[in-house]
Amino acid sequence: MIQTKIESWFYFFLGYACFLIPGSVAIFIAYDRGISFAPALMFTGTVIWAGLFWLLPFTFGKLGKGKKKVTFDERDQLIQKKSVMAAYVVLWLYFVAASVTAWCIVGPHGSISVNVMPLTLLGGLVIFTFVQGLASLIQYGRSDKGEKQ
Amino acid sequence: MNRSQEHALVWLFLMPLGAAIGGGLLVGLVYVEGPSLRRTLIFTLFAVWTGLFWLWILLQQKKRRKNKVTFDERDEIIHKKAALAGYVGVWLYFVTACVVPWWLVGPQGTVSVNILPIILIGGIIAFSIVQSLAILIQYGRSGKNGENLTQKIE
Repeated sequence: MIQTKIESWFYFFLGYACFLIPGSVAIFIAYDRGISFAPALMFTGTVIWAGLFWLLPFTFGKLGKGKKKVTFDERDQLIQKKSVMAAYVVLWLYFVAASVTAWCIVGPHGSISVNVMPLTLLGGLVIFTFVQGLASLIQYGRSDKGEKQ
Repeated sequence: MNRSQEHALVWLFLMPLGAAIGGGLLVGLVYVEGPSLRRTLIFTLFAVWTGLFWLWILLQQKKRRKNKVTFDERDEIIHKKAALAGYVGVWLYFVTACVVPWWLVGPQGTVSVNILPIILIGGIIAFSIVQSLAILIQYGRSGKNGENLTQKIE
């Protein structure tokens, strides 16, 4: 199994834990002890990091261009870009659905707990990671790159 | 200036204006006259359509390409990169739009539910601005195939 495919599997299953745990803990701490700089920064950092994590292979791919062993080639880049694009499309649909559903259920004169907003963001991250991982795995297919089944 | 650049320049001003006026009007109508299925459906379709408009353009240009080449591989790459940049911008905007009220109001507080569709309209505006700017920046100041350079040589 090629390295990028292993990374896709890793991202598919363990990616959630890497941002869901710190994100949820930050929301819980803020709810329990009141908002302060530390949980807000922890949440913001986690969410930005997780949402833009897909940029990392492109940056490292460019930095390691001079290396002899190629682990992230043009095909991987194309697959990654397509997966991220699919994930962003689904993420947009999720945000539209989440906003309109809450708006309809509560009614335009109602109010919601402000905690709904960071929780919606975390939900978006779960969907983004799931779709991105799934799209990568589908595009790589069952066979490995350069290897016969 | 080629066709894509012209479109991007128009969208840079038209889309934020349209989203702000159209979306704001819909949210205002629902707030004043109460929610209805028709208005909610129109708002949902409006948000989905404006957020995924770039995909429709890409598919349309691919269809047209069979007859006359006005949209080649380079244009496609530029449009896809611009859409990605737009989504990155939207993500950062959503993070800011969700964390700032959370910080200001405090976790025990409540906010009006109207903030959600308003944030969504803001997302459309952020996406169209970043996407259009990314297209214009990628094409650079000269047109496709170095039109300005040719004019200078002539």
